[in-house]
Amino acid sequence: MKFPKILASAFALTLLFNVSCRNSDDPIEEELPKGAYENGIIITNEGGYSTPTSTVSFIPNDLSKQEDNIFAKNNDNAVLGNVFQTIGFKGDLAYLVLNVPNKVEIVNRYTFKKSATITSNLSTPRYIAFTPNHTYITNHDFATVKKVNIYTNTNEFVKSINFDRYAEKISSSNGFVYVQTDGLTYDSSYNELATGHTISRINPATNAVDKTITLSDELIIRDMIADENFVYVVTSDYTNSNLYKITSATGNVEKITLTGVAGAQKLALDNGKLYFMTSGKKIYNLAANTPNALFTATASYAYGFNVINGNIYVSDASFTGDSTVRIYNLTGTLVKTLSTGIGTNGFYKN
Amino acid sequence: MTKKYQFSAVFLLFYFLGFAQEKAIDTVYIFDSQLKNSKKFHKIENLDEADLLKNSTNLSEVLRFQSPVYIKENGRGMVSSPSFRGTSAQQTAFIWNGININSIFLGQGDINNLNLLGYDQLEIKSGGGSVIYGSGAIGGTVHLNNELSFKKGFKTSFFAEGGSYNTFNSFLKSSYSNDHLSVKVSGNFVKSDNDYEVPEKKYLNLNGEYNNRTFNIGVAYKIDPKSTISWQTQIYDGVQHYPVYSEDFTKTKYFSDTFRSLVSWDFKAKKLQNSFKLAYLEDEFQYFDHIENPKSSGGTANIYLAKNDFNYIFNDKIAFNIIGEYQLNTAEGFQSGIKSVTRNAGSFAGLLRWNPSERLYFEAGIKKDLVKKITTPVLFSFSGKMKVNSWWNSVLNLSKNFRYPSFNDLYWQPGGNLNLKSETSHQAELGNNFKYGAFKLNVTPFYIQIKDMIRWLPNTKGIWSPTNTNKVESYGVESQFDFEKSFGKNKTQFSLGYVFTHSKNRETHRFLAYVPQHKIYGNAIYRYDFIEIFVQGMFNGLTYTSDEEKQKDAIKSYFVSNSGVNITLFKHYQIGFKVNNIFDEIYETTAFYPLPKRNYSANLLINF
Repeated sequence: MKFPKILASAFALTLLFNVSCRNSDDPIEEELPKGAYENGIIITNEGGYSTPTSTVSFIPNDLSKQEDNIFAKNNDNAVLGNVFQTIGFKGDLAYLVLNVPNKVEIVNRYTFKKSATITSNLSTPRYIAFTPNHTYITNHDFATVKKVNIYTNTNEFVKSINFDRYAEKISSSNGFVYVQTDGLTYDSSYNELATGHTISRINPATNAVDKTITLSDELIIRDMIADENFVYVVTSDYTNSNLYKITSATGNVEKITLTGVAGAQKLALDNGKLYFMTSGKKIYNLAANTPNALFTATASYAYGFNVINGNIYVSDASFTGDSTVRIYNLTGTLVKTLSTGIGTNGFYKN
Repeated sequence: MTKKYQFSAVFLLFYFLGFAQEKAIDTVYIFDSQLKNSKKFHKIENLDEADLLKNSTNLSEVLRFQSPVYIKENGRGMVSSPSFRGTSAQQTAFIWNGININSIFLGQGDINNLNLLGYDQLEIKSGGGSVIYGSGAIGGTVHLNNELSFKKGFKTSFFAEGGSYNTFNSFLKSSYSNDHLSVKVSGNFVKSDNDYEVPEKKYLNLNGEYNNRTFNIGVAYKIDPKSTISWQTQIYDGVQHYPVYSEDFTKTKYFSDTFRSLVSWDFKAKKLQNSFKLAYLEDEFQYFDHIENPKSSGGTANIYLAKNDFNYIFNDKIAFNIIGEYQLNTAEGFQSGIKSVTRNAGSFAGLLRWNPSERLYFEAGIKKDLVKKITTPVLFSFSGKMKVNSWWNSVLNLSKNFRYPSFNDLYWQPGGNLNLKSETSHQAELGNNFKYGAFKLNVTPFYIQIKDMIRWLPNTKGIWSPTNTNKVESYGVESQFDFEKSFGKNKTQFSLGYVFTHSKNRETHRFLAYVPQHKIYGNAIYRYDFIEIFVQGMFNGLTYTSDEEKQKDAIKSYFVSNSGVNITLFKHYQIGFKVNNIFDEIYETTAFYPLPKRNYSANLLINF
């Protein structure tokens, strides 16, 4: 906890310095709004598999209104696609990863005006991460394709790194790129099974795997998330759950047993605090490495999950019609209910 | 592939056999012996070759323009599913020469892989018929029939058509028959690049090509005046590429191969008729999620079937009919978790027909299916017909019908649910037939209630799994007006159908997706001597595409019209021209899959 504090004070100092500079040299410039979608939450609606029904919705931070279809609206009614998997952000750009259409649409994150599209060498793209010089995209069809594609900042294809079993979540942290290279599969009688227990690290200097971390349990890797310094991985079966905290710079692993937690599935980070939701829709946060049950969300199919500015977002996904999003505060009080698009799967702070 | 070459040889042989003298007197053998009887009570639309050729592209178009069925088609010639009276695709049974051929895996018929040119006639029957036609005959049945004639000598017909988007449709039918023997061999071939464009929707039917072939052989032999042995075999293979929205999409394709063979021994005496059938059906599909890679999923299903239909006529008023059936189904999936699955299914049905007076007919049926490990209800049917007067007759039909879970519902991994029950449906209809001179009018209000509908939903583990959940109530009216008149060398035929369907989920109280409330379809034909002109029109009302009755996402109403001219030359030749979608209507039957704008075709039909 100390380090961020030092950072914060350093940041404050810099600001002060900047302000003073401005005062002396320049006339005061008014901060112009960057676009209609600043200071709010972007909601991704996955859409159908065979119908191009992926959409993007936006709500401002005060949750006062909702705007749907912001991609089509700002791009001459362009069709976004099917199976909208995720959004990654880099600077002012948002990268919209579309699984079935094998493309990544790049838009300005505040105006949603499209600027470019990545299609080269993509095959069922899933997740995305960035380093200062490169873009990393996992491609995963749960059958033959399990790779990370690497692109330059001008979206030129550099190379692919193939993995043996999985290439799913991907995060950049403290100069390294971490890839979830194992996950869920099923045995012949359809019991859940782990493909393996690895997280792989790509060194951006060489764009090669420089470390493969094997987690020390037999549970299934469910999710991976990262902040500036740590990568968090959650593993579980129907009765047990573990959390792994990987120090990004060194690759050192700390195992945290989530005592009493069954089937932890989805991770979220908000204000330096880690949250997770289980298959039973129970939501916890982590206080001093101990799971702390908050409440149980209402959903017939809890799909998208995130915590933003102290509010917990859970989507109750429908793939034949509108999904329902329930926004709770940390005590579990329902703050707002939204009706969103088909298969709502993600919430992003913008 | 070897099977097909063998068939070509047999094909040739029959050509040589065929050169014999012609004889008159018409007798036609139809495998589906129950269909004739159904016509007494049910509204059955009969489409013969000439009707089918008006929409020669595929069965979807025939049903769209010439029947009350709503067809949801993912682009022309692609995946297509029917909805009869507000029910689902699995609640429509496709019947091949009297035998239910809905896919064991999916529980539904694959319309665009049932090539209409491979059949001699099509009958479309609205309303339930599980007592006779089994699982899935809830909303209605579509009957694909091959027929065999006696005493007709040698006949051959050839049809070839070229159309927009590099489309080619063709068939060749050849038959020979004398007093005792009837042989018919036919083959058809269909292909299309199908790369139509709808610029207004920014749509190009990319990767939408298809081609398919059917070979049929039918033989009937009259052992004596009372007994006939007949055999019908069909081999089909089809290739469909599925359309994608842009070149960046992963292109996919689908192969469908079917083999169907049926032997029937029919005995017909004055008091007693018996029909014993043995059938073998094989269905294979292969799906390629990357067009250039090996198949990613698939399956083969086999049906071995024995069926006996015994009919005894006590006197001119009462007849008794017993139908017994046994089926062995086996299936082997590829990448679906379906491994060497078998199912034994049997059923017994009894029907009593009573004809107390000239003006009254009754039929009551009861049936019990015994399907391994699946609970099935006792089914019944009741029909009563009364000739009210010389221009009006009225029919009341009541029935209980069902659909048992498909192999995918039961065994698909992940998700397959072995605890599923059959879907059951109760229904009632009151058919009214009016006839005055050259005018005919049918008005049939109907009511259908379905419970325990099987629907795939995510379960507590987040895995999609089927459960018996929905209740649906559907009511409405089917109506059809017909007019037919000939005077001198003029002949006119006109028919106009209107269907009103109100189909709602009884829990959410919302309209079902892909069931239009209104559909109007009309066909008009005018012939003068050697020239024939026809016009078709179809209006489809607002159709919701989501469970939430969203106006924004609904398919707006549309009107599509086709027209054509046929000219007969030198008795045996007919050339024809068609314009489909004359008014260039932008329309879709499945959201995001527009169907072609105006397009053309020219054809040649030779009969001798």
